[in-house]
Amino acid sequence: MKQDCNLNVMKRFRTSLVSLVMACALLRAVPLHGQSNEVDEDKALKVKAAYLLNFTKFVTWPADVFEDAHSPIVIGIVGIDPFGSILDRTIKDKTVAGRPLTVRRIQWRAGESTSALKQCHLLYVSPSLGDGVAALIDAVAHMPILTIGEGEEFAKIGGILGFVAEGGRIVFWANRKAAEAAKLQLNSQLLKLARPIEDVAVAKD
Amino acid sequence: MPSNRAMTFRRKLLLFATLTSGSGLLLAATAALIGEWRELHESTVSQLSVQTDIVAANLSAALSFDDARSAESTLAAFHTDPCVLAATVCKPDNSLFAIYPVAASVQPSFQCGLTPGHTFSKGQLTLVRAVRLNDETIGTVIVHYGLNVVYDRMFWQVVVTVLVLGGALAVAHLIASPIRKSLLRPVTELARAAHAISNTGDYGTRVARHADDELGQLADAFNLMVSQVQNRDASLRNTRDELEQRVWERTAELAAKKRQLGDILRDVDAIVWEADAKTWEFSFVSERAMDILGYPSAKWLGDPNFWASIIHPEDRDQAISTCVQATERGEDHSFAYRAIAADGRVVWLHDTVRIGCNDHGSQVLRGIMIDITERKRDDAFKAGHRRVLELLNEGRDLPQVLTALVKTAEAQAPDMRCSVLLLDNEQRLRIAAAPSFVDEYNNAIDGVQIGPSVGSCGTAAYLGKRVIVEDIATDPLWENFRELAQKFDIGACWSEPILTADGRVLGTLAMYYSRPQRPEPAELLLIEAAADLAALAIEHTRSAAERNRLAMAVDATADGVIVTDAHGVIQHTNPAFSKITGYTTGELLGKRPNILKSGKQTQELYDRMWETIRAGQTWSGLVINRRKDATFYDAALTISPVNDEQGHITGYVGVQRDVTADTERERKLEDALSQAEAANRSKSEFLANMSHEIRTPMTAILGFTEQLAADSLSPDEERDAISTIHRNGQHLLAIINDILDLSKLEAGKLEIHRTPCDVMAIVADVVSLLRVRAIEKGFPLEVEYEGLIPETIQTDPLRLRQILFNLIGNAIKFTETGSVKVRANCTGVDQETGRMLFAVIDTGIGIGPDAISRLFQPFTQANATLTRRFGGTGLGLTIAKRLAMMLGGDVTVESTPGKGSTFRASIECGQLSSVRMLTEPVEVAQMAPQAPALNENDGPTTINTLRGRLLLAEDGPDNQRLIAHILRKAGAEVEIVENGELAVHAAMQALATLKPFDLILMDMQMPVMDGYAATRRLREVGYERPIIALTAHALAGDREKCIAAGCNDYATKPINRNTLFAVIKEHIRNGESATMEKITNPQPLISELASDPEFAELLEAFLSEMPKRVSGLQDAISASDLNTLARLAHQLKGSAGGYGYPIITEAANHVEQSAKSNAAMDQLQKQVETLVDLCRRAVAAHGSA
Repeated sequence: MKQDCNLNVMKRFRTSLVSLVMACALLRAVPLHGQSNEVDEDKALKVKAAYLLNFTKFVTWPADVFEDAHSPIVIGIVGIDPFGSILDRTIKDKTVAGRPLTVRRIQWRAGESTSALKQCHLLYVSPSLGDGVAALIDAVAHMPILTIGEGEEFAKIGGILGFVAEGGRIVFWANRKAAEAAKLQLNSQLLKLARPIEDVAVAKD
Repeated sequence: MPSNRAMTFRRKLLLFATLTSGSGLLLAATAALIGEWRELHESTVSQLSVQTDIVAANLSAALSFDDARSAESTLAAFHTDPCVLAATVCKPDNSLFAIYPVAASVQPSFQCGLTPGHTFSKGQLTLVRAVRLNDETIGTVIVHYGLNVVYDRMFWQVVVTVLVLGGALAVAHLIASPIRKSLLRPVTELARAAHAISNTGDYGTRVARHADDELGQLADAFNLMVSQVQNRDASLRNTRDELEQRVWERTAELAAKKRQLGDILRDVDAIVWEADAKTWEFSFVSERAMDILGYPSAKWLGDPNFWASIIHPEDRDQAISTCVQATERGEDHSFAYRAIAADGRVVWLHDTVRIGCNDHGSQVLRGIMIDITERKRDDAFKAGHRRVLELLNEGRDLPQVLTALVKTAEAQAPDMRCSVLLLDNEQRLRIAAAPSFVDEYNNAIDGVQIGPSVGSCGTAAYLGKRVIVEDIATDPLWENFRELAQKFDIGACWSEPILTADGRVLGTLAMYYSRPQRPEPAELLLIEAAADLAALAIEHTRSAAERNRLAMAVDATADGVIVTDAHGVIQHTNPAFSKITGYTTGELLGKRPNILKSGKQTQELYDRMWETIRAGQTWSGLVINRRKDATFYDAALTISPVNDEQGHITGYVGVQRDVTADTERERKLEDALSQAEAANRSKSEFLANMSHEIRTPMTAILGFTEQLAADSLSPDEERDAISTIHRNGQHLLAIINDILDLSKLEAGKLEIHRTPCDVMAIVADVVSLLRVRAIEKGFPLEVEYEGLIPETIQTDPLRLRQILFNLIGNAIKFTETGSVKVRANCTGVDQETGRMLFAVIDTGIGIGPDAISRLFQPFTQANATLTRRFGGTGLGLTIAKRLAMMLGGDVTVESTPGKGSTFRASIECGQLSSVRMLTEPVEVAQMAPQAPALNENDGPTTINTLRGRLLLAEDGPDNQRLIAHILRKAGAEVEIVENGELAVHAAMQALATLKPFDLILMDMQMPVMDGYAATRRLREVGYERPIIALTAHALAGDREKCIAAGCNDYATKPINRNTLFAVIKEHIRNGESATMEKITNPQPLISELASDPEFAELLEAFLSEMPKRVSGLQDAISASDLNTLARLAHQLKGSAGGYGYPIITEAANHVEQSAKSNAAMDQLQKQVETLVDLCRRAVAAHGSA
């Protein structure tokens, strides 16, 4: 019995290792936004990773989403993870208001259970999801989750924040109504910096 | 500027005022300016800090998201304050992030990397603030602030201060001038006034006062000083006048004192004197000397020998020498002596003398002479009085005492004679004491009849009043005795009647004088006192005589008499008392009667006794007293208080008689009566118990007989029923035999036949018969012989066998575990009669010390409940002891409750000298206990007339089986308990586990707790289900007793099946169906590990083995193969827990333990059933899952 048990654990471990290697390979194989320059791309990712971290400081979640005062803030990456280890390095040893941060990578397809998503406080929605992006936004629209994606379009279809590269800088669009629907409070300073998207309906119930 | 000393007072004042106010103002102005300077700086910094903090807070997002434009627009907030020259925002890496004003060219001084805080330099304030987000510094803000405005404000402040200072000085100067004037004027005036007084000496001059200040006070002080000088002159004059007045007053006072002293000396009732110490010539004698001694003072003062000349010749030498010697020694002294007064009277003087000096320095004697004549006479009378009382006390006879009394009276006056006459029963006077009269006179007087005019005494006695005849020659009372009086030279006679306290006349006391004489008051007192004393003496003497006579009577009585005073101290006892108690009168006097206390009486009795007699009443009663030799006796005691005339208790008289013999007789009678009653009562109890004992086996016999007659029993059941009937018949016979034996013993009709018999064979025989019983109970019965045992002994073998059978059988009966040993030995082999001793040692329940004393008594059972629990008649020990006694020995017992008992039987065994002595190896008999075969066999249910769960509480095993059998056969489920306590327990437990009994059958007479108590207990705790009483007592009123205890109904033993069924059915009707449902539908048993899929396969394997194990267990229990059963149970115990069935492990453990310890088979059977049930449930649960 005991041997069987160990075997199972080993198997499980091996499976996850393989999937990790595959994910890494995939990450390197697929360029983002068609940018060719690897150095610029790397820099942009660093900035975005830093932004993801900084967003957590300017967003207030409803108190009941955390178990206690030291529960971690969970950043979920949905779809193919463009950051590699950058995001992990960025948040390493960082705390926001006494909470550590963790990164969770989630494979999700439209129509699947949102239980894995529900455990995250911030979701970076990779463009690799394609049509799934809109489905995901719909699925989590009324959950207290800060959704962040790529492009102005992401914010327009109901995402909360959308990154845009502009003149060598990364700026972001913000959808206040989407944030309100998610019961998230965005800091006024953050809103001042963001490009506001107005008159865009939030995904309906 | 002139020097300080030369300056006028005016200038000094002016300078002082200017300097003081000027320096004060200057200091105040400087302090204000410095304060203002500091405050301006601080307010500027704090104001700017607030502004900068707001900006810094608004910069956090811009810095976080690297938005320089947003930062610059935030900095633009500073444009509201023109003093802000510039502001910059730096990143943590000290690179410039944003700048204000945007237009301003970056100055070299705007550098990053400054630490937060503020600095003043070059007319600027530089303020640095960190921008923090989430406790992390994400940048710095640096603000440069121009201070020009601040410095302008400071300048104007200084200018204003200087102006105010100048103005203040000018005002101070103006105010100083009038004050100066008011100060100077009074000083000048004072100086002028002082000058005037010293010139003129006129102390009347005063200075005017202008104000209340210090100068005003100085003027007041000056005026006060001048007036004090004036006052002192006046008071000196007054003092002189007062002194003169006081001298005059004192002189007058002294004169008055002198007059007073003279008066005192004259009035004091003593002679106060002064005389020269050498010549004894008096220099002063107080006027009283004339009154006391009759000599005028002129006589005293002129003659140095005067004092010696007036002293009584008998006392003179003594008095003079006392005085001379004391004077020589220089000692004060006092002494008494007689002096002869001028009229020849003898006067007792007490002279107190002090030695002193007069004004001229020569030694003088001063003294006081006091007349103590009266006191001397009094003392003499008192001494006489005392003498009379002493004589009385000594018990002298009356004439002697009265003579002493008369002489004492006569000593009071030299020329007086005294006599006492007593009144006899015929109202005649009799001479009692008249020592100064001649017999002729006395004979003439003696026997005179008293009357209203019979001399002094005859009249006094007649009237009971004092009669004073001052002159006999003329008094008519003495008419008949005048000649006689003349003859014996009697001129006057005063007679006082002698009266008792209640006024009865006892006689007279008379005083006679040669010449006519009138009594003085002192003399009347004397005669009265003498008469009182005489009354006392007469009464005392007479009552003493009376007492003597009484005492003699008391001494002569046969009862013990004791007389105490009011405090209970013994005053008198009579010889009979000493005879009863053993104490002599001498030993008892002065003690208290409590030395007789035996301690056998309660204190309450004595308390009540004292309460009664103190209240003046007589107490009688029976008490146990103790003699001197510590033996006890019963005393019939009567105590009476003795009262005086006033009703006060003066003592107590106790009379007691020794009634020990009487009470002893009564007590014996009572004892005999109560013993007879007890014997009668015991016999009744015994008969009641015997009837129960006989009826119990009878019930079994009748019941099984009925079974045999009514049912179609299997051959086994039939055999069993017949053997039960046989056994009970045997038991019945044994009981009847015991009763017969005991009756014979009691009646003395049992015969003893001594023959030579083999003692070891008898022992072996008895042991072999009884060993079966020991083995059935699972312990060994051993026999040991110690030393040599005779081959044959002379005794009655039948009775010896009976003794041993009883003792060993008894030991086995009361032992549950351990062993029973029989130890035999022989003593007195070389003597005329040898003795065989048998000790039966058990490890049974033992006997309490109180029960031991009653153990061998017939008709008295050690414990009725115990006897019932262990069976038997309870007569065995009594019979054994009686038999042993008839065989010349005895049976004794030692026991420790809970440990065991040892019974020792001894018998005489005759002459052993010619008998061969054998040695017998110690026999140890120990057979492996056999498991008894199963008796019960529940056959297939044939009659289905009864349903339900029943509890049978019944102590007799045969009845248990019989009733259970009948009920089970009828289809009921029956559980059996053997006493009331267990019944209560079982019923309540069944109720708690929701498997309540539908009905309880309760035997009413059971050990530990009987059926009545058990039923009452159940009803008390709220048990409401039916309880049917079962009882062998076929007496009237039993049914009511059962119902009263809480039973629903009643069935009699022996059991009549139809009646019993009818009763049960009537009460069981209600609650049957639900109960049955529960039992037949067991819950599936699920493994605790069932949810673990990894275990599924193993569990499957374990459970598939289960049916095999179950059948193994069942085979083992059917074959009574305990070893296999224990082994199988052990395996199941070990594995079931591991597969998540702890409950099976527990049940298997019970089976294993019971199998190993040879527990009762039916208990084991139940345990196996439980285990098998659990196993089946486990399998069933798995199959259904």
